[in-house]
Order: sequence, then structure tokens, then C-alpha cells
Amino acid sequence: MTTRPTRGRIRILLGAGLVVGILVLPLVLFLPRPEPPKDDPHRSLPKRLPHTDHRALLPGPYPDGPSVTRACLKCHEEAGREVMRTAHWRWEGEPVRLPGRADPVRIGKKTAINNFCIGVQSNWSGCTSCHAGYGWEDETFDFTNVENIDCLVCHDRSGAYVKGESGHPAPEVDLVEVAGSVGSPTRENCGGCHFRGGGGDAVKHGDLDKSLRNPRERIDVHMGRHEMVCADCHKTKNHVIAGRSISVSVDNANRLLCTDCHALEPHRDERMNAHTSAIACQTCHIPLVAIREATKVHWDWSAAGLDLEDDPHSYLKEKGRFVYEQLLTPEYFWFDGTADRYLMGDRIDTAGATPLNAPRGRPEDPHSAIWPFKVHTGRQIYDREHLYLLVPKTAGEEGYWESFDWDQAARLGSEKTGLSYSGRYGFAQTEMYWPLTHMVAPKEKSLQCADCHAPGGRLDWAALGYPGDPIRWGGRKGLRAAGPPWEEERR
Amino acid sequence: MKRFFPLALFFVLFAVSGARREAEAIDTAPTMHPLFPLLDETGTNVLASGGPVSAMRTCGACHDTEFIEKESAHAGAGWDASREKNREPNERPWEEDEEMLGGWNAITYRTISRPKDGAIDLSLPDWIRFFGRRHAGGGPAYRAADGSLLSEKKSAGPDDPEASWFDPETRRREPWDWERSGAVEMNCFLCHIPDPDNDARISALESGAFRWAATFTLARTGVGGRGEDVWRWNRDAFDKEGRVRSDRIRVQDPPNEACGRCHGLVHGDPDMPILLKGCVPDYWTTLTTGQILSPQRISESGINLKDKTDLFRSWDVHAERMLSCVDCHHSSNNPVHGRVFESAGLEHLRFEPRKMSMGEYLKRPSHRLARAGGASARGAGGSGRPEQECESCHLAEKTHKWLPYWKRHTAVLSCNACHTPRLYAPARQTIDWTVLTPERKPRVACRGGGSPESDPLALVEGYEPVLLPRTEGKGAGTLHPHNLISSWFWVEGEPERPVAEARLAETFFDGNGYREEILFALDANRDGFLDEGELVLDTPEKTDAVRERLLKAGAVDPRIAAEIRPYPIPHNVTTGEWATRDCRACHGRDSRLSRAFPLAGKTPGGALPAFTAGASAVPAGEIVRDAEGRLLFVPSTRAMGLHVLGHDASQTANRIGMFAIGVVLLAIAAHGGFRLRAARRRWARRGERFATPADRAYMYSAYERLWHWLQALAILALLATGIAVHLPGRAPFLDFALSVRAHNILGFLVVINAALAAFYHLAGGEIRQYIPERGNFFSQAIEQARYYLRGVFRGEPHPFAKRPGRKLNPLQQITYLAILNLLLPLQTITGVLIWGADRWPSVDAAFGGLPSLAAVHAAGAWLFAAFLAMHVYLATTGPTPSAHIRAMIVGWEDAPKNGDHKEESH
Repeated sequence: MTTRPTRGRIRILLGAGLVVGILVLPLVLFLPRPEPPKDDPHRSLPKRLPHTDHRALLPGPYPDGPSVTRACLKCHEEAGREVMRTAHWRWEGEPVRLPGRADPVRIGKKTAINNFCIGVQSNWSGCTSCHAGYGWEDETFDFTNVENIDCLVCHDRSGAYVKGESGHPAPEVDLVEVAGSVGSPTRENCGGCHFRGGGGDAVKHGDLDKSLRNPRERIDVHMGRHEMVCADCHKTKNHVIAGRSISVSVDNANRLLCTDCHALEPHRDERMNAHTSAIACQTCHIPLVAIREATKVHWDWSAAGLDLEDDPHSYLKEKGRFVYEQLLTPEYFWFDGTADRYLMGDRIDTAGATPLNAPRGRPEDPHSAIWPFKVHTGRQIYDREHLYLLVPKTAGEEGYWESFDWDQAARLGSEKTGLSYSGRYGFAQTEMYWPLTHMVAPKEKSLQCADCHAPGGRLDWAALGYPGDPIRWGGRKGLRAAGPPWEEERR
Repeated sequence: MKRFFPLALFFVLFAVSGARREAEAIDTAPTMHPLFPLLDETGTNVLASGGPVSAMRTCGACHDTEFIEKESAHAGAGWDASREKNREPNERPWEEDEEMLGGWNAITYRTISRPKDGAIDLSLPDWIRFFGRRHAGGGPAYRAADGSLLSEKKSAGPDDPEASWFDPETRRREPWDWERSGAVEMNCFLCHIPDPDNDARISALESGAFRWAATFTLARTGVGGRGEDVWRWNRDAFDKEGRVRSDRIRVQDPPNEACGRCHGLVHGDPDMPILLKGCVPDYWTTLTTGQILSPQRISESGINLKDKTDLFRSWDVHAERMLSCVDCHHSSNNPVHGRVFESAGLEHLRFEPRKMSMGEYLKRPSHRLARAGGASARGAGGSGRPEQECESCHLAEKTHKWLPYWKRHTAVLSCNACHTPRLYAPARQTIDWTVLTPERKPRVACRGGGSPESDPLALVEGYEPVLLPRTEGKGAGTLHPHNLISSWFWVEGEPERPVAEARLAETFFDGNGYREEILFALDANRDGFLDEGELVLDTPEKTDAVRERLLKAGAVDPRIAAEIRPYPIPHNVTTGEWATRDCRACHGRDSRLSRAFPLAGKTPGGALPAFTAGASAVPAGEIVRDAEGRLLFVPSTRAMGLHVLGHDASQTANRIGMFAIGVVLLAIAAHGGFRLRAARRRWARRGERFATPADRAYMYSAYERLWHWLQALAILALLATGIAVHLPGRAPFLDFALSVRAHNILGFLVVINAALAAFYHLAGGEIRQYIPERGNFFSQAIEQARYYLRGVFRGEPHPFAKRPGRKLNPLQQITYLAILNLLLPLQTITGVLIWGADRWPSVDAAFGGLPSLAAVHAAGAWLFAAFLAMHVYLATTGPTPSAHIRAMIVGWEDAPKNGDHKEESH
């Protein structure tokens, strides 16, 4: 008697399940399933735990930077070794084989030449205020000493941390207050150096400047509309921060892509998705850069040293003549993510401008895409005899900024770089290419068809290797056979 | 000289207007077009003759300009049609046809005068001076009605309709000297060069320098300009052989701007925000409908538009996607666009390799431009033009898989119905010629928030166009977005015609402004001015006063006529993201399909307007006046012959259905109440509730139970989804599209289940349960009914106790027979037919289409719901309230002993 109702109940439940199943099955089979969203980038956003309040853990007192580092490393034992492997510390990458060069080369900020402040060597005290370390003032800096790591420059959240000469904390900084504030890096931490590349706000990149500290969505949709921070895209593991730039690295390792978070074909419109095989996302979604702050597009060192009226946006006696541009329209080139690199001692092109980091890429290469670039042109010092670019000593004692003597600056510089200096210098034209990838506009402001496909549009089809506007001539995969209509149908 | 002052005046005006500008830098990329000399009427190089250029001769050196001129509606302006005397008479006696030349509309108001008109209002030269700005020359401006050249025509006097003009100086008609003015040749330059000087051309036409119109079109190219007092050709713009340098005149396909010059606001410059000065007649289709052809995002435009920043769609997706006007409106014999065998009936071929060669085409490009099928305005160049449909390019079915009943939707809707959901520029709403404003213009109003006073700061809201069935073309009958422009105007005489503008002016004004009689009648507050509220004939007194004045001004029997003219909207198309895609926009009580469309604020003279005959839209709806006296057009889906699910539910049928269910529920409540009371009494008397079961019978087999519950749940789900489809407002938690699809699936499930059950009953002989006992049926039925009305309260036993061999009582038998043989088949057939509206529309049509099918299906659903309520209640009338229900679950039922008619308590 006791088992019967239970068995009955099970049978009833089974029966009910059968009825509902028969009813639901055809619905499941025949009702159209809602399409999953084509693009769901929010899924990729890192989720961060609230950071521990370090005030009680780091009571101080801290007489200098390294004493803070020692305190950090007491708990974060691995952090020191991790940081010492990164580019932020070493300012140079792994040896890479480059086409056209016999030996693998190491390239990085440490030894690279650009056409802004030219080179780090002999100018350490000025340049290394952006190094994540303490006390890099000459070639003798000890890269193996963990205590020289500057944890605070990235992890300070008080906003009160300032680096002075050779990367030491500025004397007025209250290190106890700063150390107690530490947390995961904010836009301010990254921007403290990266917004100011080239010696001042907005100078170098065009797509990175202080307007990104707290941008409106028109300036950057990720930070402005979605409140993201740098590290949301530049995901970091063991202090290795994702992302790279062709100004200081030549390989494609650690490259960051829009498609890390976004779908490769995220548009509702297939016509737009068809573009993604040949066009970088950035090309349409970064219509303009230097939106709020003008960026430098030309720097002529040869004009330095004159007693003209100083204006940081057109002429400085120390640095020469500049051209700045706001609301800069990018230039477009094929780009596979890598670039050629002018290395110390390479011969320059005396007839025209020497590209220091010409982007690689060809229309025939399926991995190349059309990318937007800021192109920065310069005139900078070179050796007239050896026909290579020189790194002059500009900052510090007896540097050009004190002496206004190019010959002496070149000589002092060459002592540090080891490149011999003939005593005859001149000024050569150079070009640098800055792929643009920040300041992504909201989709409502992205480029439209006419921006490229109307007569006189942004893209120079002939220069990019097309026979004509692909809207009529077809894409790069070869001209579409203009066959009879059923050919189209059959496809 | 006196007789022909305009030509002289023209050169003066031309000098003052500064039309002679430096030739602007023009794109000097090489062109395929060969160099050519500019020839005059006699075929002489203009450098030699110094005369005006003749496009017919210049272009005619290579192209067959005579052929083009005859083919092109832009030249003909319906000129051929107007010569056909056997046309059906239009309802408006004053309108010859619906073409540019012979047609009439309330916006321009004037039309060319005919011999039968008696008096001449607009002679041919007057017509050219007035309408020439929107006419490409040639046709009626080139040849007289008898086919002779106008330039050789002699005037027969001031009353010659083809050779006289109204001289505003003398205020008299004068003969027109065609030999001196020359005719207006077809002007190829107007469309085929990049930067024609249209203003100079128009002022040439307005001043009567017809022969010079084409020459002045070239004013900005630098090939010539005004010298001392006459046009001088600039020899530097020509090469040694007297041919124009290609950097001066670059012949090209017509750019969008060329079309826009006459047809509407075209804006191609992405960096320059669009500006619009209210609904003023600068741009024709922009005025009539609010269409703007531009790739610009609306949010980037300069128009003061409500919620503009969110409108990041473009004005027109085709302009955005780099299509030019001529990509769709191409010349009908252009081999690039050649569509073959459409009408040839050669089913075994799909491609015609023998196309016209490019050379042949360029010799004789027909210039009959493909037009929007059905969506064309009235007339627009007559027949023989290929129709251009969205389907000519689009395979819409591929992108509309999400849309249930795709074919049904496309059978009744044009693409624009959803893809042109709203216009974002103001458009004309009313034109009232029954009064004249101080500027001697009609009183006009705009819809969409535009200000007729061309105030660029007025807030524009745009408007939702009204959807009405098209009357023309392949898409005839499909709902298409339209603007409706209502107009009121005085007509006079027999046959009637609009009172001429000059007579209207004379009626309202003397030399010093409004006439005293007019002011006296209209100026209610006596301040000497007619403000907006006063200047309208909204009372019989005002109307009579104006009529009196009109009579004095010589009008014969003046009366007010009113009309509504629909203007179709083929452009300003947007992508799916912005198109109407919410089902409930149409499938709901407040359906977009029947939303009232404002016509006018006032009804001048009390004249209710009617749709013009031959209009491009069917007036499916009615004109109503709201509480504030405004006129509205309320479209009616019924008048369109449609049954829109969720919108057109018959309210009467629904009320009857709900009433029936209400009655059933009330009856159940009453009957149940009485039963409960009676039962309580019995319990109190006997101290026990229900009898212990005497016996258990296996009443329902497992399959019967499965069958029953499956049907029960499916029908409940059908009722729920059915309500969501039929009355979406009542089931807001159920998605409309999902409900439609689920309802279809469940419907088929019920049919399959019923079929299997029928097989089970037939094969196993169980069907006998349902067959009433012959002969005794009626007496048994009455006995059963008496039990429900009396015995059940007393706790009497069922007259026909339920047992496995005889589960149904006579009333059940007859009810189930009715439901299974009538209601279920009816629901099935109507349901399948409604489902088939997409698949076999002609079969549906044979049954009266959706309007009748849906009504029957809904009525059946109400009956089913009523049956369900009754069924559930009667299931509680077993030995215990739950006995039958329990039996249907477990199969076993406590029953009195075999065949025993015993009382509940033994």
C-alpha cells in the first residue's frame, strides 16, 4: 500500500512529462531560434576584484623609491622578476631576424632612433623619467637590481606621484601616501608617459593625449561610452602588458587586435563585413585623430638655435621648427603589423626622406590590411661623411640645449652610441609612421561609403595598388570576372 | 523695342547679378568625350558667328539629337500626349492631361491656356517663362502644336495662345516675336556638364531670351561671358580648330545634382551640413514630400531637427551607398542596364548576347529614363518607360527570413512602406488659394514642423507618411508611403477652371494693399491687418464677401473647389536597422496602417476635399473632422481589403464571444454555487462527505489519456497565442511574431493529434462511445438535462452512469459530435487557410480572403473557449468533484458497481 501511490505519482509525472514533451518538441524544432548577437565584446572585458587597501600594509616611512619597492616585494615576491622581463623595464625586445639583415637584431627604446627627440643614448637623465625604474642616468644602470624597479609609476592611484630626473620620485612626493594608494593601473598611470611621448602632451602619437584621461564618447568610444581603462584592452599577465608599436618593435609578438574582443564580421550589413578582409577596423572607425589636442606632424631640428620668438607649437630655440595639426585626417597604407626599421648606423637616403619604420604590407598579402597612419616628417642631424643618422646629446650638461652647438652635441652623443662621427654634420629628411588605433569613434561617427568611394575620397586607389575604385573594379582578390548574370546566380 | 523689352532687360539683369564669374577650376582628368566645336542654329561655329550655341546642332554632330528630343520626357513635357485629342477627359475640365505641359496642380497653380479656355491666362511664351526653370527645353518650347518650328512662327496677334505674352508693364497681352526670341532648344548642357549656370539659364528664360538659354547655361565654364552688352565667346577656351578645350566643358553622365536641380534637394557634399529653409518651393519633391537625397547622416545635417543626434541613419541609403540617380533611372536602351526577355516570352533563353553596341547606344541614347514603378507621380512622361522596382536589384527574400508571412507582407506592402518609415524634412500640407497673403501668395501650411516662412530655426519634427494602395505599375495595390497635399481654390465658369491668378490679385488688392471690402469682411479685430487667424475663409460671411469681390472682378459663378493630391515617396530609403520592423507597429490597435493623417487646420468655405481622379493612390479611408475642426484622413484597412492580424479583430464578434464566455462562466458559478450549497446540506445531514468507492473501473487507456491531455494543453496554448495574435493589447507578455509561429505549430499538432485519435477510435471501435443511441436519444438527452438542472443538486446518481463501455452521456455525445465534426474541422480549415495566406493566396481569395477567414476562425475560437470552460466544470460533476479529472489522469475511476443506479451513499 505504501509503494503504490509513489509509483503512481511517478507514472503521473512521467505522463505529464510526455505530454509536455510532445507539445514542446515541435515548438523547439520549428520555431526560429533567436540569432546570437553578431558581436559581443563585453564578454571579453576583464573582471577585476576590488583592490586591497594597502594603507595599513605599507605604513612607511620610505626615504626613497627603492625602499617602497622592497616593501612591495615582501609580499609580491614574483613581481620583481616579472617586471624585469618586460619591455617597460628593459626598453628593448628579444633578438629578431629581419629581412635583409644577416644577424638577428635587438630593438627597443634603448637604442632606437626616431625623428622626435632622436635617441635615448647620451640623454638618459631626460628620457628615463618615463622608465619604470629609479636612477637610470647613464650606461652603467644596473638592470638586474630589483630595487630599481618603480612600482609606483604604474600603480599609484593617489595622482600625487611624479617622477623627476633619471626616474627618481620628485622630492616633494609623499611616498607613504602614494604607496598606500596603490591599485590596478588607471588611464592616468599609462597616460603619464604614453600621452606625453615625444616630450609633451599629444606630440608623438596623435591618437594618445591627455584628452583620453576622461574623454567624451566622441573622442574614444571605449573610454567615453563604456568607461573602459587602458588595461581592459591591454590585458596584462605577469606584468607583461599586451600591445606593441612599430616605433620600437619589429616583430608581431604580443600584438593587440580589435578582434580580440570583437567579432571579425560584426556588422549587420554584409556589404560592410565584406570590407573586413582588406580594411582594418581602425580605417573606418578612427576617422580623425588629435581631436582635442593638436599633434606634431613635422619637426625640423635644423632650424634650432635661433633667437626667434618661442612658441611650443611652432618654434623653440632648443628644438627647432614644428608643424602641429588638430583633427588630423590619417594617411592610409597596406600594413601587416610589422615594419622595416632604421637601425643605428644604417645608410640614409640622401635623395629623399629616409623612412625610420616604414610599415610592411602588400595588397597581394592576405594578412595585410589598409590601415590609418599618422606620418611624422622630420629633419634631423646626420653624418655627412658616413651618411648615417646621429644621436646628439641634447639633455644634460654640455648637451645641445645648453650649448646650442651641434658639433659638440654630435661628438658627445657619438661617444655614447659608439658610432664614429666624422665632424661633418647635416640635416636629413626622415619619416615615421604611427599606426592609429586609439580614439575610436562611436559607430555613428565612423566613415561612410562616400568618404573613400566618392571622387576625391580618402583612399588613393592607384597608390594602394588597385586598378580603380574597388566599388566598380572589385577587391584585391583579382578583378571579378565580368561574366553573364547566371555566373553570379550560380555562386 | 517697346514691344520686346525683356531681352534688353535681361542683359542688364545679367550684368547686375554678376553672373559672369571667373571659370572655376574644374577637374581636368582626361575624358573619353572627344573635343567638339560649339555650333549655332545654322551649324556654324559660334566663334565665327558670335551667336548663341545650339545644343541640337552641337551635340547633334554625333548624337541623334532629334531622336533624343522626341524620346525624352524631359524635353517633351507630355507634349505628344497633349496633342492626342482622344484622351479620356479628366475630371478637371481645365486640365488637358497629367503631364507637365497640360497638367495642373495647386502648388504652381497655373497651367497653359487652351483655345477652348476663351481667355488666355498662360500662353506658350508665358508658360516657358514661368515653367521653363524646370524644363530642359525642346518639346513644346521648340515646336508648335502643328509640328512647325516655333522660331519660324509668326504671331497671329495678342490672342494667339502660341505667340503672345502678358506684358506686366502695360498689363496687356502683346504679340510675341518668336523670330527674335528664338525657341528653347533641348539643353543637353543642363544635365551633362559638371557646373551649369542654372540661374543664368532661368533668367534668360524669364526675360524671354529663349535662344540664349543654352548659352547662358555655359556661363561658368569660361567659354564666354557678357561683353559690352552682348555675349562674347572667349577664344582662349577653344583650341586652334575651334573646338572647346576639355578643361572648359567636360561632358559627363548626369550627376545627382543635375537631377536635383529640378527634382528636389540633392546634397552630395559630406562636409557641408544640409540646410533647409522650411517648406518652400526651392526643391520640388522636397516640397511635396520632404524627401532629401543625400548620403549625409541626418545627425550631421544642419536642420534643426528634433532628436537629431540619435538619427545617425543617412537621408537615403542608396545615396549613401554611392548610387547615382541614373543608376536606377537609366536610359531605357542603355545596354549596361539591358534587361532582356522580360516580355519576349522566350522561356528557353536567359541571356540575350546580341545587345546594342555602345556605339549604337551613344548615337541614339533614348533618354526615356526608367521610372519608379507605380511610385511615379501622375504622368511623368507617359508610357514606354521601363519600370524600376526595388526587386530589379534586390533579392529581398534573402534578408527577410526573420519576417513571418514574407510573401503576404510583400503582396500588400511596397518596400518603401517599411523602409521609408519617416520623412525628416517638412513637406507641404495645405495650399489655400481662396485667400491671398500680403505677398500675393496662397496661404500654405507644412507638416513635419516646417515653417512656410522659411525660418531656418523652426523646430522640424518630420512626419510619418500615410500608407495607401498604389494605383499604377507592377506594385499596384500595395501600400506605399504618401504625402497628402490638400488644396482649396476658387473655380469659375462652365466648364470650370481655377480663377486666374491675376483676377485673384485684383479681387484682393488694389494699388495700396488689401481692398477695403476684403479688410472689412476679414479683419475681425479691426486693426487694419489680416493675421493668420483672420486670413482664412472659415465662415460663410467671409466666403460670401470674397465671392462678391470675385464677381465684381469679372469671375463667372465663382465657387470653392478642394482636392487632395497624394504624392508618393519612393526615396529616402533606409536599411533594416531603421526600417519599421516592430510587428506591433501595424499589428495592434494603434496600427500605423490606420493612423489619422492630418490634412488641414481649417476647411475654407466648408468645401471638403476629395482625392484627385487618376491619383497615384487609392483613397482607402475617410476624411473626418476632429473636435477642433481639423480635417484628418483616417485610412481604413477594411477599405484596403485587408485584415491585419491584431488590428482588424471584429469588435462586435469579440464582444459576442466574450459575452458568451461570460454567460457560461456565470452559469457555472450559479450552478456550482447551488451544487455546493446542496452538498453542504447533505454533508450536514449525514455527517460524511463522499461515499467510499464501491468499485474501481479502468476508464481511460493510457493512449486516451495522452491524447486528451495533449489536446487540452495544445488548445489552451492555442487560445493564449491566439489572443496574442488577435488582440495583442490583451497579451502584452507574448511576443507577436513568436505567437504567430507558435500558433501555427500548435495548430498542426492539434490536427495531427486529432487525426491519430480518430484512427484509434475508429480502429478500436471506441468510436461507438460517441454515437448516440438511436431512437432513445432525445428522451435520454432530456433525462440528462433534467439531471443537470435538478438531480445534481439533490445528490441523485447520474442517469447514465459512466462505465468503461459507455463513458459519455447523451449530452456529451451530441456536444462532442458537434465539436469534432463541426468546430474542429472549421477551425482546422480556416486555420490552415490563414496559414496558407502566404502560400496559396488565390485559394484564400476564393474563400473571401483573410477578412472572412479570420472572422470565422476567431468566432470558432470563442466557441472553443466557451466549450472548454463548460467541459472543465462538468468534469467536476462526478461522484466526487475530482473523480473524473483523477480518472483522466490515472485511468482508474471510482464508480458505482457495474450498472447499478445507486445513490452516492450506497
